This record gives sequence, C-alpha cells and structure tokens, in this order.
Amino acid sequence: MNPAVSQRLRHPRANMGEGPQLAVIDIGHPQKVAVVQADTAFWALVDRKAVSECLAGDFVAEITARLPEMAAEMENLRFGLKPSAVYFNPTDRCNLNCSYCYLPEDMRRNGEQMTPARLEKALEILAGFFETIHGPDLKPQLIFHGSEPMTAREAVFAGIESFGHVFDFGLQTNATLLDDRDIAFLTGNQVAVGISLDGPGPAEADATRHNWNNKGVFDKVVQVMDRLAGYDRFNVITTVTTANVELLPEMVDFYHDHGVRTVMFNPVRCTSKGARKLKPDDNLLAHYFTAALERSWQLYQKTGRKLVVSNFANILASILGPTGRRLMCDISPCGGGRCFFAVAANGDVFPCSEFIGMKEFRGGNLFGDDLQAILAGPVFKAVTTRVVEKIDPCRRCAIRHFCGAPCPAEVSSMSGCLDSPAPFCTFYQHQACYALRLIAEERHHAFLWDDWEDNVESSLDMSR
Amino acid sequence: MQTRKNAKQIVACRVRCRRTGAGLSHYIMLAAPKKDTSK
Repeated sequence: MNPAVSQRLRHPRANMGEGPQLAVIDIGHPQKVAVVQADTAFWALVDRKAVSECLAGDFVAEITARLPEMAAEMENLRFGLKPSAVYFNPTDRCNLNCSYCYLPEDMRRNGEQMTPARLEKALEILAGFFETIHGPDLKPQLIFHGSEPMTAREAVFAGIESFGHVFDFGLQTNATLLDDRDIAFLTGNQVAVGISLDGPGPAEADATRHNWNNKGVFDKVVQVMDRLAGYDRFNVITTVTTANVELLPEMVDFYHDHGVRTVMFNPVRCTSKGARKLKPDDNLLAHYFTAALERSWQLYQKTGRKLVVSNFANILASILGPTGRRLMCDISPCGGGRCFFAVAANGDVFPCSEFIGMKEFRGGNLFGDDLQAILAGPVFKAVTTRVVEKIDPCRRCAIRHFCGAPCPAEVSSMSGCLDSPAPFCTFYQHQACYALRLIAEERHHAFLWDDWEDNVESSLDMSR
Repeated sequence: MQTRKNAKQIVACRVRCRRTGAGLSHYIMLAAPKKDTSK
C-alpha cells in the first residue's frame, strides 16, 4: 500500500484533506463543548480536555464511515418528501385587527369567504391530490387557518363532517367566536385546536390582539382556554414581541396554572411593517425565552406536569435526530411548498400561509390549475430550492441544519430577496447552544413531548 | 444511566424517526400531540 494512504487510514484527521469538517462550538457549558459536522447535522458533546480525541484517530474514522448514511438521511429530509399537509383559509376576513398580522388590512376587512359548497369542492380537489401522490394509506393534515376561520363556521364545520375520514383536521383560531357547542363539535371530531394569547393579563394580551375598535379579547380567550386545557389536541400560541418578551417566564406559570400542556412562544414573524416594529432584540429574547424554559423545568420538578414549549422542543428534537423533528420551519429548504402548502379563500395557492398577501408568491389557483403543476412551477421552486448553502453566513455556520434560516416569507419581505439569513439568527444560536447544554445535562426529556420517543429509534451511538 | 452517560468523555447519539415524512408540518398541528396519520 502507498505509505501515504496507509498513514491516512491509520490516523485520519478532521478538517484536512478528505477528513470530515468538524466545527468545535462553545455551548456555554463548564465542562463540555460541541463538535459538529454541519452538513450531516452530526454532533458530539465532548469534555473540553478530550477535544483532540474527536479530531483525529478512531473517532474520525468512525464518523467518516457513518457519514454516507447520515448524508442520505439529510438528503431525503431536505429534498425527498412529498406534501402531507395543507393550510386552508376558508375566509379572508377577520373579526380582529392584531398589530402584527401578515395579511393585508383590506383583505381582512373586505376579502372573500367560501360558501359551504365552494369549500366542499376545494376539499374534494385536495383529497384527490393527496390520494394521487400518497395512495390511500396516509391521512393528510388540513388546518383551517386565518384570517379567522370561525367567521366561516358553517362551511368549516360542514367540511369537517364530510371529510373527517379523509383529513386529520386542525383549526387555528383567535378563540373569540367559539361557544360551548363549537367546542363540543371540535373535540368530538378530534380536531386539533390552536388558539392565540399574548399575555397573562388583559393589559399585556390586549396590547397586540384586539378588534377593529381596539377592544381587547383577553377574557374571552381565557374562558375558551380553560374549557380546552384538558383536551389532548390543544395548544396555545403566544407571539413574542417587544410588548411581552419580558413576561415569558410569567406566562409559563400562567399556562401551567391553567392546566395547559402545550404552548408555542413564536417570535413575531417580521413579514409586515407592523410586525417589524414589534421585533424583540435577539439577546433579550434569548434571555427571557431560556428563563421561561427553566421555569417550565422547575414546575415539572415540583408538580410532575410538563408544559412543553413546542417550538423549542422541535429544535431539541431535530438535534437529537434530524428526522425526529415535527416542525418544518427550522430546516432548509423549509417545508413551504414541499411538505405543505396554503390555499387562500379565493383558491389561490401559496407555498405557505405566511406568503398569502404576497402576490408574487401565488403559484396558481386550486379551482383552475393543476396542483402538481403549481407545486412544480417556478414560484414554488424559488422557495423549495432556498437552501442555507446559498446564504451567507449560513453556508459556513455549524448549526445551519439546526436552524434552516427561516422564514423565506419573512426574509423576502424584509430584504427583498430570499437568500438572506434568518432575522432571528442570533436567537437561533442561543437556542441551539441551550438545547445542546440540556442534552449534556441529560435534562432534555423534560422539554420534549411525552410521546416523543414513540416514533423514534436509536440510529447511532458513538459515545465513549 | 444518567451517571454513566455523564461520566463519558464523548456523547454522540442520534435517533431516527421510524416514519420519516409522516405528520411533518407547519407550526400549528405540531404543537398538539402527534396523531398517527395512517388511515
């Protein structure tokens, strides 16, 4: 054997020649650092004194041998999936006028609304589409989304009754139009329900979420939340802005006290001008976000009851294993246009609900165009080919596949092009480091859904 | 288990979803417990 090759095989090194690129990251842990192979989302948590063992020798040889299977897994996750969900706006109209809404005001005041017959026709088309691409075995998700879908209650409920055997239904609502009968109907039909609330009291919650006369809706939303808290397909979304960022730890106590089990603390999407004015500083957000997560940990230790912060749980899950994720925002390409798409009230199809209102991202119309052609068309391709490898500084960032540089609608609206980094880039760095610290401390299970392990299996263990 | 793992100098574990691609979605449904999406 060539002596040089022989030497290389005996003592492979990272970061040179054909060796794997391994980045060493300070995650803020006193004893451990992270070693990351960015392209495959491989990571190791390593004693600071043992880093050199990860950069040469047996460990590198083992990584090198396992890289192809990890690369194939990432390739499939990023480019090999088919749509399995649709975001469906049965109406353009909304009874609220929230400060950060990404939909244009005129659309929300005067837009279209589907009749029951029109909605039924749309669901027929969608059912046929999903059956064509998946066959009969998959039950696709269909989420009624807004504007406020409950302004089209009659059509929505008729659709749920007629197509319950076809779709796994969800409803994202501001909760203000839900009465006891509606709640009984939704829970009886196993519809996943998400509601929105931005603060632990009326002063904070109503600052961003109010009707067209600036009247807040806190009391009504809490009333509905209390009715639904025990329902296993229920969650609450808090949009995090300058108005409530410092209240996140308090929000954890509030939700836990009310028996809520799943929440999302979503940083405001800066798609609209109104939203951009409310963007919290990344470092401030990271401080209060992690404080809120630590508060959820304390409450779990004290009571044995979790409050899962799902948007963070997804980042944690995606680090533990890229395919363990559930959310397809924090990956590139994002899920828009390839794992899901959105239908507006007039039937226009967009890669994601975040794009509704941005005419340049209209791919076609559900009632007039072929869906498969829309998905393969140039408008959707622009989103489904947006990858971190094309974005600076993401292309050289070690956590590029724990983040994904979301969201293209937000980025496009802010910078005028798709290939720009995430507006919350620094916040994502904090989240990835915190998630890795939790894994290092073996506390991560407390932050994940109880059923998280049901669908996963161990695929690699190189611990030593 | 916890003591043993913490004692290791290198922890490098990875999991794989048994049904990759099923139930992956936007943020709304994922906040709620995941349902089996097979019919």
